[in-house]
Amino acid sequence: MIRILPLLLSFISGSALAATTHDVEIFKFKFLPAEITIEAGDTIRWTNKEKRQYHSVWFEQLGEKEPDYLFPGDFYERTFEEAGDLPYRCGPHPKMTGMVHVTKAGEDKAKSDSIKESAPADEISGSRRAEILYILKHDCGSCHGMTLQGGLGPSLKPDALEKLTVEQVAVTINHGRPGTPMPPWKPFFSEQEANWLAQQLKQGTAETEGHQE
Amino acid sequence: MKRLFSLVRPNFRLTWHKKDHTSLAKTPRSQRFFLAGLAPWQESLLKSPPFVKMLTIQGLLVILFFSAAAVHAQESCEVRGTGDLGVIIERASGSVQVVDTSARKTLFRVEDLGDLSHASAVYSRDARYAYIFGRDGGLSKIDILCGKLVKRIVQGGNSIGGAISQDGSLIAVSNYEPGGVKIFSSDDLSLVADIPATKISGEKNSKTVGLVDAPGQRFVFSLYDSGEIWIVEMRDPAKPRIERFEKIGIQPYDGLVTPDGRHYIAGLFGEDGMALLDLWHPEKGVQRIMDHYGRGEQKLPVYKMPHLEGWAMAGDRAFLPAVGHHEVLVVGSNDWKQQAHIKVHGQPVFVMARPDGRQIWVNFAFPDNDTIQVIDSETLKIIKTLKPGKGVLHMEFTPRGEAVWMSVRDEDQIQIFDTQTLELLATLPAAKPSGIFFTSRAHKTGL
Repeated sequence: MIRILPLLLSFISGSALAATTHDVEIFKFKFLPAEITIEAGDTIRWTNKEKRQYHSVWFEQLGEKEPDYLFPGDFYERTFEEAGDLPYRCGPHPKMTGMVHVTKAGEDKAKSDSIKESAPADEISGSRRAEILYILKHDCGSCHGMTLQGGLGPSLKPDALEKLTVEQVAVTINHGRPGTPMPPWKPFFSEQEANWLAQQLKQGTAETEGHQE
Repeated sequence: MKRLFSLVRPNFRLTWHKKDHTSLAKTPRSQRFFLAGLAPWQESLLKSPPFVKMLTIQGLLVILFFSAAAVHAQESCEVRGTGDLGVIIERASGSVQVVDTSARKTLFRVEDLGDLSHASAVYSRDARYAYIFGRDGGLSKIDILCGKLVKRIVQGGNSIGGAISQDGSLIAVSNYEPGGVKIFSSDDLSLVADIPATKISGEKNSKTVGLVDAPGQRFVFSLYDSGEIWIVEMRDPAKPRIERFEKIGIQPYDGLVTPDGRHYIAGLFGEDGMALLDLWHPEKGVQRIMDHYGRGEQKLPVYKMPHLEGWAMAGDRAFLPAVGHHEVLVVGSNDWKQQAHIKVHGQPVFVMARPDGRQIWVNFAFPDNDTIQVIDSETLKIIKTLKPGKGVLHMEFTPRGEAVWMSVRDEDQIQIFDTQTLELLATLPAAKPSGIFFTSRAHKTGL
């Protein structure tokens, strides 16, 4: 620890002097690096390094509209003024996710890591949420419809689930419905994840989030 | 056609006023010919010397004569046969690609087709038009030579595929909501017949599945909730004749017809077995085949329903997906007795034979949908396991089977494999691709 302290210090002093710009590359359907820790006031520049594929950088969970596509060679810059953990994804490719950790200016990286650790271990990360909604849309969707309006399986829209509690929906997700084709999804979702998904379904937020593609 | 225009042009140029030039340039190409022909003509005919009048009238006649051609030319349609073309459904973006399977390239993208999750397609008999059945009840007719949507109707609330009649005049669509089958003219998509399914409770009708065409201008389908098979005969479109077969089994989830159009088979979800109807002898009723194929074995969860599209046949054997068992079933096509079951990687979804029947290609349900297995139809051994990527949703062989195209949803890619070497030949970009449908289906019963 003592040995790396000077290194850390120089890092802090360096970055505290002036806001820096960090680079994230978009290549082969990945954000590189996918997770980045910066200080408040810093800027990130995402550059599309693909040959042909377009992408976008979408902070969906901030309630923002899906931004324009970045075609190969295009870049997108954004400055982060407030500390916090901000998950993002690619609009057309929901499985492409990334995370920006913004620490308070002058706060060192080690501390931000300890903050992350002290957060409840069972909280569902942004990228995992996106993954669950992707499964909902494309895999649950093979019976319930991609827009959840129903198919061979019933509709999963809020009005169709009105008579069920969140717990009942969660139990159905993870244990299935005997006598129907609904299988148990327990191997793929924790209890908490099933609960969260059930909540999204009841509120109708799963459908809108899962459908914006 | 373009050559003809060059013949026409010198004539009407004589009447083309200079001041019109700029305005014409801004006019869409499709209308330019009309403006160039008509508006200047009205002005200039009065002022022009007699020989110009003559030419003007000639020019006008020629222009009118070829105006229909002008409309076609501006759409940049392909002048070619359609035998090596196909469509690829892009499920999430509501679009389809028209592809050339010889050049392995995309010709057109047709958009605004609604919700295309679980969409499928059939072809007109001249293989120029593709009819796309969308999940949202949309029925779209696409001109694949021009890459153009000809007509789109929303005919139901929630639907699951369709079929084209033996003579190519009728399109039938299977609906979940409201449960039943609707039949349309393939020409203008006008409604010809509406056949509601059996009522199951209150306002609800049974969902209809496994709709296919059969010889004798018939359509055959299964009723999921009420456990029936219906035959609808449309020889007189004004008077559909319906024949019902009840208690065929629990929860038929899909159906298929043999390539000769003789046998209709419904897969059952609610029990191990399949329902067989001999369309040469419907009076004999429905027969149960492969009863209890998974006897004594624990049923596994099914994360996606298998599809019984087409008929994977090799010699006198047929290959079918088991439900709730990670197996491909092998059945004799003479006696319909089970001959073997082949353990595979996951719950099979599509079990498809290469057109020569030598190989059987299988894809799988979630969470194993990143894998493809190839079975040798003679030895019944798995000869190759491929990992094209997550979400392999569908496969389609080229007409004579030297290559297979598959959609890999999460890679946003079509992958093309050589069926001899089992090596990847090429890829094409596609947005969340699902169904792939080549025009060779146009002349096959049941596809």
